Amino acid sequence: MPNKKRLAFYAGSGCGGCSQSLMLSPSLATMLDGADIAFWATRSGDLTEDEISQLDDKGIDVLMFAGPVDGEASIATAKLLRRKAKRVVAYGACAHLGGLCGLTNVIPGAKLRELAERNGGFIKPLSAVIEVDYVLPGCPPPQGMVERMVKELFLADDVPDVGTVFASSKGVCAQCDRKHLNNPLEEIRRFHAAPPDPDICLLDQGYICLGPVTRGGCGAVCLEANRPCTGCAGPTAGVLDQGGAILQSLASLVPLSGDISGEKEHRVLDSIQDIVGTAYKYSAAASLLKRRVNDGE
Amino acid sequence: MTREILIDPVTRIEGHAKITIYLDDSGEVNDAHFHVTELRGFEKFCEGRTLWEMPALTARICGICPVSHILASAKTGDAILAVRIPKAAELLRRLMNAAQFVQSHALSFFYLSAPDMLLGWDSDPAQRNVIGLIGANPDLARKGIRLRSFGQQIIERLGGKKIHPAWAVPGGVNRALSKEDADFIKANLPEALDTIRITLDLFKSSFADQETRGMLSDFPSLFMGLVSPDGTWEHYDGNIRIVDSQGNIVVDQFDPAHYPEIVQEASEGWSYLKFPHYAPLGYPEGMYRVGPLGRVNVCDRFGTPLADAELEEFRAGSQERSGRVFDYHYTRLMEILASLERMERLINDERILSPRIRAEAGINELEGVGIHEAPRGTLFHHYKVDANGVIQWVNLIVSTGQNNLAMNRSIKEIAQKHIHSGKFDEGILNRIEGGIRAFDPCLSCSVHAVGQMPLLVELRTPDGETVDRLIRD
Ligand code: SF4
Ligand code: SF4
Ligand SMILES: [Fe+2]
Repeated sequence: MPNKKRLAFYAGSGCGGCSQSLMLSPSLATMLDGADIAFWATRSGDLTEDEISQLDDKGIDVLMFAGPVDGEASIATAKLLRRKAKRVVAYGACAHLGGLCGLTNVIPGAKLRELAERNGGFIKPLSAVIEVDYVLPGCPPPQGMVERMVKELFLADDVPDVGTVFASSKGVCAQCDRKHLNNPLEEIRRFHAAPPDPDICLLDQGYICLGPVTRGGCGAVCLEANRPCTGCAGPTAGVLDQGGAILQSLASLVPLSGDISGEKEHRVLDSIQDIVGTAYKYSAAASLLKRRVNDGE
Repeated sequence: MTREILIDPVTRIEGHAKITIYLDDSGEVNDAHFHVTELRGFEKFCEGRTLWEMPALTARICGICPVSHILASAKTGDAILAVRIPKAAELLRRLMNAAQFVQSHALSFFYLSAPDMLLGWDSDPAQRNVIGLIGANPDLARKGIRLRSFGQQIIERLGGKKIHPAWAVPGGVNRALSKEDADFIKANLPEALDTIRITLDLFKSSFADQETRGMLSDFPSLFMGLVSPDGTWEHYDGNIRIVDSQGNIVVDQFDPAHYPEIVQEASEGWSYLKFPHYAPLGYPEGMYRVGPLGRVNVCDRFGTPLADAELEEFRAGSQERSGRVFDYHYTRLMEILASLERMERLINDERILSPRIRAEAGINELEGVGIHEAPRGTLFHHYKVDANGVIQWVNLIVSTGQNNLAMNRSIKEIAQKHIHSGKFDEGILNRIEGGIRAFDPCLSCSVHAVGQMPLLVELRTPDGETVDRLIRD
């Protein structure tokens, strides 16, 4: 048995679902057996700055950080926590990618400024403000990935390589057992109009699914529940911009029309109802999308 | 002299907030404010998204009660598609909501509140949590944890995930119930029913005396909740009923789609949490309460035998409605029982296994209201869309917000009872916490907020300076 690690959990903001995912995990007991808790703050208010300051520098072996960073105060806290921890895990989609609230970054004009002012800044992924050692993706992280993190971080003798993402190196599609027809994409179908066939690949049926560009490891649970992957685990290894990647692969599915202007591809892609919200649902804050702060209304 | 007290943190309220208690010159309590100081902008960034995505998006308002938002959102979608969903879908949504009541109420009671009650308000704060409860009453704690887990497991089996299972969609639900999952629920119901009956008995034998029940605060108000057409307790559908403290019906069978006629929201500069009130009485006179106490106070009956026996005992033959904040705990336990009995009925209804679970339709209305009972109270979603189903406008009135006026009132009353000549101690602060916690407020929900809000309690004299500070760790 290796020496007990000192762990800490911090959720500065977010919806509270990430801490629930850990609290409800069967791995929780194993983790608590293998580690001492330095602190367990599931609310920003659970721990004051003063209290954090008093901790020893690098006194925490592993800090799990959940929730997005959104303003001066939370950036300062993140930096302070970084000093106290040897290793930092970005826990969940908000810390990993900015998460759903990152969509506030692309609200046009005046409304955005109002929100940004109230919240003290734009939504940022944790890695935009401090160095992040590991990523546990998902909104919230799925069970299997939580288990893997617990095993590799708290039960093993040596620590995983910096940069480890506790998910699969393959895409979501690898765990999805729907039949592939390799149909061309002639038109985009809308979900409220008709439910998809539960046995056939959604893209083959004309529904947008982020499975091909999203990191696997969740067991393709959404597909299992007959809904599309909306990309909560973030881009597959090597892909920078998840939204850009899905738009590219959708374009490549549109059958060639012989017309080099790409007019047909455009027509099909334009028929997507909400491109930003669909392609960048969890990753707008981590994307290459230009912030629209100066756009005006 | 001005004093500021910080309770930092209140670890067992879902979210963050701040309380200020204002003292007059002689150190008596003049007023109290429950502030919420953050805003997350959900209503804004939902604009431009599609109707289809709304259940999954609004689920992320709250990781504690995502199912509530998913169901309210799907119902709003039904209204916009202008469909009546298939019977199996309705039964399944009801099942999911009953499971949500069980898990959420069990979390509130066993994890957050029972430690105060069973270990004592003045016991060591470090012990007043579920770990302390495990030490003091391991059997009860274990049962409570299993009860919550039962609710969670049903949610996970139906929705594919425990948290944020976007399984209900406009027009119905995404996946039918499997025989295996139905059998799981049937097999585990008896244990759950047992647990809640034991817990209710323990609760009543320890706390049902008038003195304990009046301990936190006790004041008249209106109460709101959904009831079925014959006045039975509702949690998923039905119409709005409002009663007063004498038990008089003020509003009955009101169509939720017209809610702006009876519910208006006031704003105060000191809180981002708005102040919904009963419009005809104005602000702040139109204070009403929602949640377990609200629902139990408005209904004529639960409609299931065990819960109805409890209701009869609770009302004790009186027409008057309880205004005691402590009775939130009591009614919460009654609702766990009622939810489990409902679940039993639902799961034995053959129709729930039907594979027909979705009504298919396009955008047939450009505006829709979806309302249902979340564990913490009536929840309103209201959207406007364009012809393609792209969201143009969103209004959310969440359960916790509707108790805002009452929570302020509760804090003030407790503070007035326990703070004199500017003197206080930690036991008093615990009671103030307890007076809020009874409502089981969910602040993630109520402000659709990103955190940064520790619950601070500050004591201030009229001149507003800070002289004294107490931080509890
Ligand atoms: S990643 Fe998802 S579950 Fe976790 S805090 Fe963010 S919204 Fe909530
Ligand atoms: S299928 Fe996609 S959206 Fe669903 S949990 Fe997996 S990664 Fe997340
Ligand atoms: Fe909530």
